[in-house]
Amino acid sequence: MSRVVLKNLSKSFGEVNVVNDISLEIIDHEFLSFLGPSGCGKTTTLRMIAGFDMPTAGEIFIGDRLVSSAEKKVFVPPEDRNVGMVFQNYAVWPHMDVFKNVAYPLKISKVKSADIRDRVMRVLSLVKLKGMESRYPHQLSGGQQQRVALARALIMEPDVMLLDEPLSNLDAKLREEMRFEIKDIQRRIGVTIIYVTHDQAEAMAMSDRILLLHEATVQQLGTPRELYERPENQFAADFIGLINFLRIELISKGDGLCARFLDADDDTPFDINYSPEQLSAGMQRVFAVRPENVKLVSPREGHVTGKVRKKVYLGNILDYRIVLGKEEIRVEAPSTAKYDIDQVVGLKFTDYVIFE
Amino acid sequence: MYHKRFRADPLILGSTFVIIGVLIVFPFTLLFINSLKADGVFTFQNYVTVFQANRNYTALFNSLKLGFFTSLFSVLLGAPLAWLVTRTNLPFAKLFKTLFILPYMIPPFVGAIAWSQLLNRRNGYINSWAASLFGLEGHVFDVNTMPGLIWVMTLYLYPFVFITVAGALERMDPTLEEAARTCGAKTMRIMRDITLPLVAPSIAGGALLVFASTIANFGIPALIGMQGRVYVLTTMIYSYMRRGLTGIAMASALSILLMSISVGALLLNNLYLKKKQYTLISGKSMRPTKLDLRRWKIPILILAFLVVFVTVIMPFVSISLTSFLDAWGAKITWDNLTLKNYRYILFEYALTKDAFKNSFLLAISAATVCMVLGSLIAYISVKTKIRGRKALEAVSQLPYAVPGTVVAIAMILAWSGKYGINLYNTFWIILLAYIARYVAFAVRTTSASLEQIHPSLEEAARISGGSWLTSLKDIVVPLIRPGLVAGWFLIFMPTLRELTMSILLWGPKTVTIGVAIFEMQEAGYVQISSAFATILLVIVIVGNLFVKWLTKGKAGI
Ligand SMILES: Nc1ncnc2c1ncn2[C@@H]1O[C@H](COP(=O)(O)OP(=O)(O)OP(=O)(O)O)[C@@H](O)[C@H]1O
Ligand SMILES: [Mg+2]
Repeated sequence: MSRVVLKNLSKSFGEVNVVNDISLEIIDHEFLSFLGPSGCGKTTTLRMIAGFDMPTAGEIFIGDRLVSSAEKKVFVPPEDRNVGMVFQNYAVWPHMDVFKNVAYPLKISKVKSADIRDRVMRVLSLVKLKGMESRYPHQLSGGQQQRVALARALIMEPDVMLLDEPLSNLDAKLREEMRFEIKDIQRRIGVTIIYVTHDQAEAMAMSDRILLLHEATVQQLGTPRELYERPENQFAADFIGLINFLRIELISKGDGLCARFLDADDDTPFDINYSPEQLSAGMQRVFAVRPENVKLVSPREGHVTGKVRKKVYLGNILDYRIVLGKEEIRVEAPSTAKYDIDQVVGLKFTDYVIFE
Repeated sequence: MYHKRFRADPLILGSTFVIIGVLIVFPFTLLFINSLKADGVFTFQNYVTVFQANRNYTALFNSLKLGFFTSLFSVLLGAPLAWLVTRTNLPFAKLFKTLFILPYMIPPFVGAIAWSQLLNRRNGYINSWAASLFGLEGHVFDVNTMPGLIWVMTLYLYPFVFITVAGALERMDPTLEEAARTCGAKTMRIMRDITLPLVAPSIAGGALLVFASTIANFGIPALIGMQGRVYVLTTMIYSYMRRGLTGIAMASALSILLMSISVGALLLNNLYLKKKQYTLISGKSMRPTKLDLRRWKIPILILAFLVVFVTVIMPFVSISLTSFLDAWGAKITWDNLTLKNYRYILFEYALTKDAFKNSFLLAISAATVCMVLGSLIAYISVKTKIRGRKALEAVSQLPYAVPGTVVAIAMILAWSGKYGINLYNTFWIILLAYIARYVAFAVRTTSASLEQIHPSLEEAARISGGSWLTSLKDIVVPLIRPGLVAGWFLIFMPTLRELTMSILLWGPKTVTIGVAIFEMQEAGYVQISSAFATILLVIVIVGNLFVKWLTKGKAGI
């Protein structure tokens, strides 16, 4: 059983709240990412799970064991948590060669040296470092050092692996490769992974679920698809992918609602698929729509009209900028679309979200 | 359009090379040649004679022994203290960090005086106290022995190890230790497997520095060792020179020997260990998790305080108490306390008044000349492409790397009339020695600040029509002025209390503070030398605080 449960976890350094009331259950064999801008508390949360920082409030369970509790004064030290960790800067020991680095956890737990050799070799081949056993860290590339750190965490056969931006120092190509390898390893040995990153593409590509953090608080928890398609607030919508924000006012129309743009020249109301239970007439809201969810049509067919200001050919798509009065909206159209600069077009929204 | 203009730079820059040649290269070459010359012919005779004399052999052996054990005990004392201050929740850690460095501020000969007052066989404070406490006859400790030397030397030099190890522990990436914890290792195991191996090069580096400084030290073996007939190389050279210039051949040969050992130790540190220290330790400054001492907190705090008490408070109290004593060796009672020692050295005794005047004059002149010369060398090395600039800088560093005793011998060889100029027994030979030895400081402080000036600033001044001199005066000097001022004080302070070179160079009219204290102590005027030493200590402490304030805590000893 290797789930991880955080209950109302908080951490402050002096007056500053660095982690604010996080509750979360990471299930067995899950790959969960902590995603958020720099300084939002990702590392601090990870360090609390590993046992390097004590929570100010709340509890942490690993498996069924309570490992940290501010209220009950429980604290299991890091060495007794059986949690593997890969540090952002690898933390590979410079005075030990690759073999010694990877073998260290086994030496600590007093495994027989014949077995150590076997297991180290197995793990090294898993991370594709076979033949490098006797090299020292300064003779390794950044990517190789990172794999040493990974191997050192894997060999403990931990219940949970914590990875703190392990790929941030690698070049794009190696990063791609390592993403794949980490994912692959996880699939083979079935370990629960908590992965910290501030790179949304990385989180989207690897995670089963993503915990989006901002200013010490949880913004959203969900699958990559949920985060992209159903962002719960403006921050989430903005942080992941491209999105247009437009101010709208809600108007009642019969039993339902419709909306009109506040800053557009064309303020014809258009129907929205929100029920009056969620919203009511007279409210001012933010209408968020991703560029690929706007279709360019003839002026009469669209929800609103605008004027083409700019278009850029990007191969697979055309990137349009359409002026709607004071505001401008970004639209991705198939490269077959043929609208010219200054042409008046209709905009049809196929999917969108409305925020406060 | 180019105008032909009088160019000052070749003249000034060129003469810098000449000055360094005369000041440093000439005397050291002579030293080398002289050690190979006997009765006018080249021979290894001097070295053979050196080793024929049993006492030289003993002196060499004693130097090595003293160096080895001082380094060893400095590591045993300095490294754990460094760990306590940087890696545990010891209370007042910041204060202790300053206090543990303090012994190095006490001039070594002052420390030696204090410890001979505390531990001498006849009436050392601690011996008398122990005798009265346990009703013993005779003495418990005798400082005038090899162990006594090691003790005093260790207390003076262990801060080297403390500083290097504390620095390494602070710079060490804490995740290296945390990674070991996630692997299941407990604190003690991590210390053994990770922390200790990682700081080992720094420990070795600090130990080598201690070794080199021990070998080069004169004040402590002179005041503590000679009385007990324990001679080391520096004191052996001194005793040869006491016979006047006749001993100089032997002194030169011993000097070369002394120089090789201490330079060897420093080179080993610079070439081998420094490199290791850099590759092992990252520059990141992250806060490591500090070990909770729990129930050991109070005992260790007491222990730390005890270290401060023994290394700083006891010597200081001993010296200042003695300086108020009416008669040395008498019981310490109110009736026995007096200010007459101070009155005597400050107003009555001509020798001490001379010493103050000479030392201040020497320190001010040396610091000023060093700064001018040092800035020129730094300028040539950092800002020009003149051939030989790196050699110039390296040569300027040499006299500080070798023991002061060796520098003094080289100066005597060069300036005692054999080559047309006789400065022996004058103010000038002492000044030359001070300048030669301390110009290294000036070069280092100024080149550090010069490196931060972008060449474009200076070029801009020259493009707008300024000559080399105006650009120097208007642009460069103002920008490095803070560095210059700090550098000046960093030379002024140690030259004011200099003993090692002065003791070999002084004449009837050129007694310095260090020499005066030394001679009075040797002559048995214990209270007077203590009063003088107390005044010196106050000057040193005030001066250091001033330099710290001036450089915002970046410099100072
Ligand atoms: N020991 C500490 N004392 C005081 N403040 C701290 C400490 N450690 C972290 N912080 C603060 O807590 C906040 C969160 O830090 P944390 O390292 O968790 O951020 P992060 O999300 O990992 O950022 P990054 O992506 O830059 O690594 C930061 O504002 C940081 O300054
Ligand atoms: Mg971080």
